[in-house]
Amino acid sequence: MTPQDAIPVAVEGRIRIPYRWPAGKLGSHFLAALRDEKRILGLRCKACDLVHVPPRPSCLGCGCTLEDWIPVGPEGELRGWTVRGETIFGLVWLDRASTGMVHRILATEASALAHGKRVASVFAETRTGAIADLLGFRPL
Amino acid sequence: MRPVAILGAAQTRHVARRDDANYAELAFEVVEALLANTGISHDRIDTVVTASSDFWDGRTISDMAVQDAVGAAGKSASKVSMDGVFALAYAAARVNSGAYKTCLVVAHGKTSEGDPRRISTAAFDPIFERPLGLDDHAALGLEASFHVDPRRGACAISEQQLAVAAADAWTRAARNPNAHRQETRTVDQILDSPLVADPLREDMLAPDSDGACAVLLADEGTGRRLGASVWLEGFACATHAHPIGGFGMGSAPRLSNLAEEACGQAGLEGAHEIEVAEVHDASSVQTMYLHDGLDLRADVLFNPSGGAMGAQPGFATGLVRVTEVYERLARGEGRVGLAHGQTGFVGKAHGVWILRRR
Amino acid sequence: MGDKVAIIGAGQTDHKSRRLDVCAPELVQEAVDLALLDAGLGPDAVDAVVIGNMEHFEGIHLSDLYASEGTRCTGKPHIKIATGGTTGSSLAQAAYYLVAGSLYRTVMAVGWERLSDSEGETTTGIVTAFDPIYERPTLAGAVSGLAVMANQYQSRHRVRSEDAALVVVTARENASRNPHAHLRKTVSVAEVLSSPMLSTPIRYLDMCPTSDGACAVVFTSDAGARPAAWVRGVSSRHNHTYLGDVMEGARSYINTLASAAEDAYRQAGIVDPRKEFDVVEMYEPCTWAALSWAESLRLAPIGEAASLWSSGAARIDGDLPINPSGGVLSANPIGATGLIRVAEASLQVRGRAGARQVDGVRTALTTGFGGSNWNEVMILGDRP
Repeated sequence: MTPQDAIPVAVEGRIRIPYRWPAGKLGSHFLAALRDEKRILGLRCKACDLVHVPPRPSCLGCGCTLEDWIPVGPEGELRGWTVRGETIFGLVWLDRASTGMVHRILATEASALAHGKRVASVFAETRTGAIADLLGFRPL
Repeated sequence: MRPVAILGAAQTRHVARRDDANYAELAFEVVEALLANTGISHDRIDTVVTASSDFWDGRTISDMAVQDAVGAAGKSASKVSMDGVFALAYAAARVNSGAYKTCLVVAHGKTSEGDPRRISTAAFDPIFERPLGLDDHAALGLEASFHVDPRRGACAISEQQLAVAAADAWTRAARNPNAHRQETRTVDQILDSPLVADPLREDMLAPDSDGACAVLLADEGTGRRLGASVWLEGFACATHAHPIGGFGMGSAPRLSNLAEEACGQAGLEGAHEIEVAEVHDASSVQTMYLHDGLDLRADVLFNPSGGAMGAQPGFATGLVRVTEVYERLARGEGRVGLAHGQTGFVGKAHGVWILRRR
Repeated sequence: MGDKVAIIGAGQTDHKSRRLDVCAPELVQEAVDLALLDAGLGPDAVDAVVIGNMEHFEGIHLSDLYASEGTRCTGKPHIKIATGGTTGSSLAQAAYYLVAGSLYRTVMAVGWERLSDSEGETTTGIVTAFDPIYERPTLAGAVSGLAVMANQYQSRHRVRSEDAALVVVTARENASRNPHAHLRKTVSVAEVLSSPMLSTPIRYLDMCPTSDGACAVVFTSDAGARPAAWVRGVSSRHNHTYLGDVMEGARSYINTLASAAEDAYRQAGIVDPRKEFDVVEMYEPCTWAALSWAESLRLAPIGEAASLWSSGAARIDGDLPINPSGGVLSANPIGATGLIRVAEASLQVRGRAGARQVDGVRTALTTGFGGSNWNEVMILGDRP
């Protein structure tokens, strides 16, 4: 009996590994502010004044350690968005921030969106210290 | 960098699925083709650098499977977990270190084995971005939207322009027997294709392909002795901000710096001297801003292969760009060329090579 | 050999079971800052970074792009090298070649791993290294491969479990002097022999831990007057498609290590490794490997490596100190582990190893080991 090798054999598999990712020193502080104060914080570089959000340990511009928190937003400017399936993702430059933040845009119609449109942060009622504490940004 | 000779290059025909071969077999196939067309045997290859992705291959240290396929068993070898253009830099350094006379670079991408969209979700910041459900197409859509901003005036790109760039890429790919996409598309057909991540439509996005590519490098002495005609003469690369919003998108000013740095190493005044260029354009927006950002002249022979819009075999994509430029220069179709590759969505790491026919 | 390359700075975190207080970029930044401090350099002096990590342990694809936020080198070249257990030593090799090949003048190698992100599932991650069709369904992970090697070694030579146990006893004594080591409590032979059997003959205390940690090392062709550890020999060898390819049962239990070592010895002019090395930082995933692989390195005749530990030669105050840092047996953040060997050896050569400093180090041997029967050797010396 010879093998029927006309059809290539393929074996299926899956890698199932659960993960737990610490938010880190800066991330924990940022998420605690979302949870406890409904506030979005940015990190301002002492040397070059760039304000980073979400947090990162060193400045994008000059590499200096970031440790000075300032509130940013709660409103900002929409500078890009895309509809992907059922979700509208957007890039928002919160007031006082130098970097954009990506999140969901809470609009029913993408046609209502425009570059430069002002948006406002929307927080969840129940917050746990996760990025989802911020539901997204709503066009004003 | 000190110039390094290219002794040969080879690529597979890139397709949607290679169900007849596992990725090690793809690597084997392309290396055999390279050895056949250069007439050089494994024992004259001193060292090997491969490029592959553990996530795409669904295997930790996935390069373990390609060692014998690429003749690396018993040799000093390493692997770069980025596009082949970065492996090429490591290879050039190995050869220039004086420790090795020849170095083989092999890159593969067998994107059909996994779910590329799902895999891409794992590349986003796990705390601030991944929970939102972004994938690479969403990131490309965000990038495109940023460039389609009418407030950018003369810099803004329109949907019509995107479709024209895409149609052009499809046409060039259709003339390339190695390209995954083998049909032409009209502007209207492209504008009618399904929206994937507004404003990007399916036909404005690079495909997910299976394929492999190999390039053989030699040091100056060996290159001269073997009469190598095409040389790598300049390289520049950079890794930029991680969360998507870092300093906006497109990184165009930094591309200009990379082009300048690489051209300077090659003794060129600037990228305007480049006659043929191949770039890794993951979307039609990238096709456009890579051309502008790299300071290429308007009439440069641009992505004659169709670019990544014609075939995108994972981490082999940038090495294929180098191969395409190499082959054209080797045939006498120009003296100076540029090949660009990237890793990451929205181009977090870019690499630019300058090739010259002597 | 191209430009002469030296290590002028090395830094590492205090490796722990879990670093829940930091995210990956912050972990990386700790090691980067310590390395730059040791080198007396600011981040501006770094031309390029080679960075490595094994993606499946954290489940982060393109993890280098994420962690690059912590290198203080945003906007500069970052090339990712990820080769399994050898990631750290491959990083050192890549940094070496990038400088020796004149692509860059100063390159910082950075390796990190957070095994706690997939706590309890490290073996699951490791098992994915093996062929999904022929091996993964039946393989039990890293330990079994090492156990079969140990079984071969034990069956050929009169080596007892007590002999293997002495390796970790010495390692932990050394680690008690190393503030960066993960496991610093001393252990006795009796404790090792009564620890649970994992896969015969390897017991729990014979095996390395899993750790969270990062390491950074600065390589340069521009050492100037700084204390420097010069790279004198670099080599790697590997072969393996299926696990059975490794079980050669030849004279050396690990031919690729022997081959890489001989190549590196030749480059560095080492004829009698037992006598000419002042210190060894060896990648020993388990005690048994330390024994048989010391023989592959020609540090002891075949079958006799146990005497290096039983005679006290391998102790910090001995004739051939092995792993004064405590070795992999005392800390194993996989993406960094091989780089830590190089970092430690560079501290020894430069006289900066603190309480674990060996007297009069001029030449140091380091090795790296990983999946693909991959072995890497780097020799450092006090002169070019």
